[in-house]
Amino acid sequence: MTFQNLRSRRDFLRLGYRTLSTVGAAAAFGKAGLMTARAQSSSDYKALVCIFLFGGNDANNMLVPNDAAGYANYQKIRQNLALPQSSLVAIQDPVTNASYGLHPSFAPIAPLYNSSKRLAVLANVGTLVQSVPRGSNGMPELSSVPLPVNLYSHSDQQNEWQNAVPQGGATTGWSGRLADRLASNSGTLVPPCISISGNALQLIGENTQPSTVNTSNFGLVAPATDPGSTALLNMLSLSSGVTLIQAAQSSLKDAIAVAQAVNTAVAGSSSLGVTFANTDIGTQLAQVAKLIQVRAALGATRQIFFCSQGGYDTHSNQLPQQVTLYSNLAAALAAFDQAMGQLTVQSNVTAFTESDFGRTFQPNGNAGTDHGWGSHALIMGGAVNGGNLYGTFPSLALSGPDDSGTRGTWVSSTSEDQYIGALAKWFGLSAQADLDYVFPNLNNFGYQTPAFI
Amino acid sequence: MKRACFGGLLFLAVGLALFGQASGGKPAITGVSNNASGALAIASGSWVSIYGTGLSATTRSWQASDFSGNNLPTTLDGVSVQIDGKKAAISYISPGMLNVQAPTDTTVGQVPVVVGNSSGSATGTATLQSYSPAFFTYQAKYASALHNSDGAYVAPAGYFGSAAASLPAQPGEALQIYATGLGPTTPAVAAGQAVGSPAPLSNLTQLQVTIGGVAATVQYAGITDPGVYQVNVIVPQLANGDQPIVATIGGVSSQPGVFIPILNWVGPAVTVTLTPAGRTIRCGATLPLTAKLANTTNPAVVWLVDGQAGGSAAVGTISGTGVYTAPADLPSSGAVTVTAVSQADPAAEASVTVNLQNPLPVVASVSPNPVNPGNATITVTGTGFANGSVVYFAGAALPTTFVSDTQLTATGTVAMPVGRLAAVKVTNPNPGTATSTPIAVPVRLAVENVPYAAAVRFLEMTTWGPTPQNVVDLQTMGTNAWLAAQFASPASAWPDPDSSTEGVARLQTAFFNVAINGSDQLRQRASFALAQIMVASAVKNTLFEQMVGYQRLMAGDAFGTYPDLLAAITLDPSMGYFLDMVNNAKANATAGTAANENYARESMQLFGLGLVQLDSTGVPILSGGSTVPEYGQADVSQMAKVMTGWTYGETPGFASLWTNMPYYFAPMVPFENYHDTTAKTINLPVPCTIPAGGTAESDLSAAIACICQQSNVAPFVSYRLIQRLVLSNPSPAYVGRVAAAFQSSQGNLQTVITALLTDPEAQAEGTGKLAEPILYATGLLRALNATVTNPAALTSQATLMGQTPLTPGSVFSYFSPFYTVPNMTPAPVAPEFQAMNAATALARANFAYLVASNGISSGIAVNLANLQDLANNPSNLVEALNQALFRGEMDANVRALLTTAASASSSLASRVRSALYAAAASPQYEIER
Repeated sequence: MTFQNLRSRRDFLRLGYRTLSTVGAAAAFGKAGLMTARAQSSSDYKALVCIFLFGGNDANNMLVPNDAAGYANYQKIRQNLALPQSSLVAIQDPVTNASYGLHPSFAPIAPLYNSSKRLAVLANVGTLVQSVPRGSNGMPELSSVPLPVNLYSHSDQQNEWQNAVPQGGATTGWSGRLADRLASNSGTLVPPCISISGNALQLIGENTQPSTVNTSNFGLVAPATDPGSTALLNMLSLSSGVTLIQAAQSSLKDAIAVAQAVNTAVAGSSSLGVTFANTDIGTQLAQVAKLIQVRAALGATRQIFFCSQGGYDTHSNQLPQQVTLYSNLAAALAAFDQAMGQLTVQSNVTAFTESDFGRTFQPNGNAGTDHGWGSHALIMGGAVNGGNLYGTFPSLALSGPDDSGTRGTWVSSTSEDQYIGALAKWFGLSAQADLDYVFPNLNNFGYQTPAFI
Repeated sequence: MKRACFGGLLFLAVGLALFGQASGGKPAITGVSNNASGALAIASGSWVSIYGTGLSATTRSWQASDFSGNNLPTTLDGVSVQIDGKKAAISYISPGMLNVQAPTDTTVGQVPVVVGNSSGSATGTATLQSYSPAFFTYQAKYASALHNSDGAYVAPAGYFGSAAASLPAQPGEALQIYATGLGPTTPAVAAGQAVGSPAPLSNLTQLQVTIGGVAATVQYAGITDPGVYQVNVIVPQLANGDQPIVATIGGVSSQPGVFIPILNWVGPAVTVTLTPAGRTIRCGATLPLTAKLANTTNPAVVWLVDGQAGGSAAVGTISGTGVYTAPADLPSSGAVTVTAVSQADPAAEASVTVNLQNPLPVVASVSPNPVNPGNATITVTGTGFANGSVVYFAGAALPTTFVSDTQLTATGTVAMPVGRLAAVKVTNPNPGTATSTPIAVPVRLAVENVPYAAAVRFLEMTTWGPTPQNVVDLQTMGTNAWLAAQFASPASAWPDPDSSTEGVARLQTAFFNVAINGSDQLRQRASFALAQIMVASAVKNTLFEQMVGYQRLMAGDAFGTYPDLLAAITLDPSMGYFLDMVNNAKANATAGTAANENYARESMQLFGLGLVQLDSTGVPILSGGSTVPEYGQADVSQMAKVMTGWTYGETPGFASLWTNMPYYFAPMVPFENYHDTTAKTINLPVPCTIPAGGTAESDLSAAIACICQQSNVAPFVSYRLIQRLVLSNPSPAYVGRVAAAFQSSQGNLQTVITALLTDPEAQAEGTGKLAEPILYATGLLRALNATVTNPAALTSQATLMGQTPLTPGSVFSYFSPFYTVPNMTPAPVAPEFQAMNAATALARANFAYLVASNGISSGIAVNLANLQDLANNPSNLVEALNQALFRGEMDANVRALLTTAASASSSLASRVRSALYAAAASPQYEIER
């Protein structure tokens, strides 16, 4: 869409201010409406917190078969990348009673699965246009359906996860489109979609523009009273007729407004009382928790946050890297869960993972793995039907019925649309037209979504 | 000369009359005489007393209402007087005496005097003479006189009691003495009228005055009031006591028995006090001095400067009233002595020292204007220059020759200043060092082979931001010669790691150092561009030694051929580690492993081919509405086999074996046992079939050659290089032209770079690109000619802005070549905007503010002195920013806003900070087009 839309949003912002002050001055105008708009109770609030695992998460080592046969098969193929069975953190699929083991670094959040039931796992989810059928021999018939464009390519698969249009070419993301439908009038001070991790296609809507919030150093150094600040602000409104100048003007203008809103809201807030580890993902989730804490000051009712953790492209030397990656992720998730508990919004906030793709089940010669397709995802929150394994765990056989090639690159059994669709429905999306708008391919899956939430 | 009060004198005359006469009955005249002396002779215009009886019924003096304009009254209470038939002015009437002024009359001899009143008239006679000198007196004894020095009465002390102060006369002093009947004046003064201005005697030299029988010098004598003459005399040396005074003129002497009291008074010595003392003034300035004399009635002094009466041009001059004017040039002594000598007593004097300082310099103009950069001789014209004045040109002191107070000549090498505008000012030396208000002088090349704006544009593409000197060089050399020189410029040196565990921080600092201070600007820019295509990143290669060789390789090969670069980078250990080609062993059934696909995949996807087939202009080829894959997953697996069998080069001193320990300073080496020798078929548009049995080296050469013969490579690489160096969204035609140059030169990068820089689309203003954070930082600092001795702080600054040097987020580099700015129609391709968001936009503005405040770090000095001098006139400051940051093409609205910012404060530093901040943070500056 155009900048017209962006302006519309700002016009709405201004209208919001004006309405507020008018109402404040004229008591006759029923304060009740204002109260409803401003003072949100927890039950009015919902937030989705995406953690994108950049590089392609080797979920084959995140969730491992823990029964004797299953583990043996795993160990045989994974060879030097196999985790010792004794190290696994045992969990169960209560439906099938199958035993699985989480990577030991997930120990901090294993209780969320096993006892608190706020953590679920969705198996073998990935980009799909349609389900890939199996032939009479049980093998996948890849050429019988349209496949996601440029499978195994980081950039393409990241984009497809974020725009939920694996046919390619979409310039908006599912979070942005979801906000278009559900959160366009949530909050007046900051956009509903906020990235803590730079620009993300996922947050771009047709009508909804995201913003980015830093974990620190968020704001202008120059005093607002500096005449240079005034000149700069005025320059942001000059009409140049040059597209890129307009784009840069818009970026800084939005930044100044959002920073002011966020800093003002955060300045008056109390300390969270939960310690997040000083890791990249830890500081990002701490910032999300802080923003959720001040949601009322920001006037937000529906928010979608985007965080990320990089380093998952483990082509070599994978095992120690995974320990670091998963430890940091688990610690951050555990702290975040605790923070949501303190804020009494555990049931209002759902965190979940995405990743480019899974990785080859067969190792390469560098103690690493190469690009795959489907992988497992984690979903955490009070609204989650935790303690369950959802989806279909792949058959861990090279060139087997779930292998798209020869090295164990799993054909996704659950589409990303179904996975995110479940979250979107919880967020409030229900009308079929809205579902089609956000997830153009969901009808290919009969609008069926897993029951993890 | 002091003028006595007319009324006061008249009172004295009346008093005299009252003393002498009594009143009578009917009008009758008993006598007519000189009012002052009582002599029977009267003179034209002199005061006359008429005695008699019944002269008037009333007694009074004239009063203001009796006057008619300048005419004195001729009738008082009905009393009128005619002398020689002419009406006389009447000042006093009483029954026994009238005081009248003899009318103007040249008759000599007996004349009738007629007094008329209401009771009748009476007639008498008077003797009219040309002269009838007589002194007015105090009580008929002392001549009516005043001390010239202070106006006090000359009479024995206490003579008038408490009514008025009086002192005797002192020999040597000047007295004002009042008389009548001294004869005609020039100009003539008519009787009966007020005196307009004093009129001296026609025959002044004939007037003789003696006091005590000794001739007194007559300084002046003339009529000052009707019938009243003032005589100024110097009292001769006389003994104490009453000394008779006699005036003689025309053979007639004044009445006898009139005295001047003389007192030779010997008191304390005359002293002189001179103030103010110890003052310091600048050359050319004035200082009023006051000499106060004590113990003398004579205040006159003679003024000396350094012993010279009235001073001189060299030491300064002093007026008769004591106003000292310092000389134009500082005398070597640096101070002068001003002395006041009493005229009354030449032995009495006082001196003060006046310290002198150099004048305040003022620059009026500079010639030539504009000044040419390089060796220049500059004439500065103005005022207040001093020997030792120094001309500052854009903050640099130039060797200066003092020509005169109003002219200096400065000779030296003039650098092109930031903003092409030099503040010229003059500093005078001590004592009293002072600097002039600067004036702005443009600096321009005499001959510009490339127009300024075009030169700046070109350098934005080819350097880490043009410095003022870069622009001069390009404008002087012309584009072709400049490019040739850059292509010939050897690569800057990169430092060696301190240890095998040292991180990349110092290398990142070196990166900025090379970028900002290196002379191989185009080579490093090209290297930076190529390094964003063939990416190795410290995101994984966290060690100094894992990145430095890569930097050296990219810069060293930046002007070679693309196939050579691809071959070199493939065997580069930094890349080998980054994309896991190092130690990539062929598939091992026992170990259950396959060849590592990482380098095979990413090098094909990102280093030269891309995922989809392109036409010769870089546009994806469509088949049935869909793009056409360049290759598939199977081809990646095949290529992965090609890439097997390489490990690190041997560390000197160690035997080479599979696998070698990490060594980053030599290309990787092959181990055939680990190379997959099976046949490989890579189904690229021009298929590659590599037969079985090849070596690691031969297979790799075949694969590189295979990739490089694909038609995708030329448009693929051209598009990306154009984006990195020129603009974000090149037209397909532009890409096609550059790709053709690529194709025909077999990937000669000098040819390709020349083609993309000199293409018409590069030369014309277009859609442009956002300066990526690193180039924004280096560009701003270089535009401001910052002195960068330690750029370490820039790493964190660039990181905040979204671009850590040497550390793209992945092999996909910092930005996608296809990134579009969201929610604009049509969505513009603008890779750099992928790193532009709220957080980084704020960081960019904050960087600009830190630069404008010269607050980045101690190793980065932004010299704002010239801009601050220019800020004296805000429009000059803004013009300098226009030239420095906007190629001289600043939009009028931007100029207006910056001028407002530059005018808001009286502090020059604040003006520069505010205006530079707004300019540097503005999107109008950040977008290069």
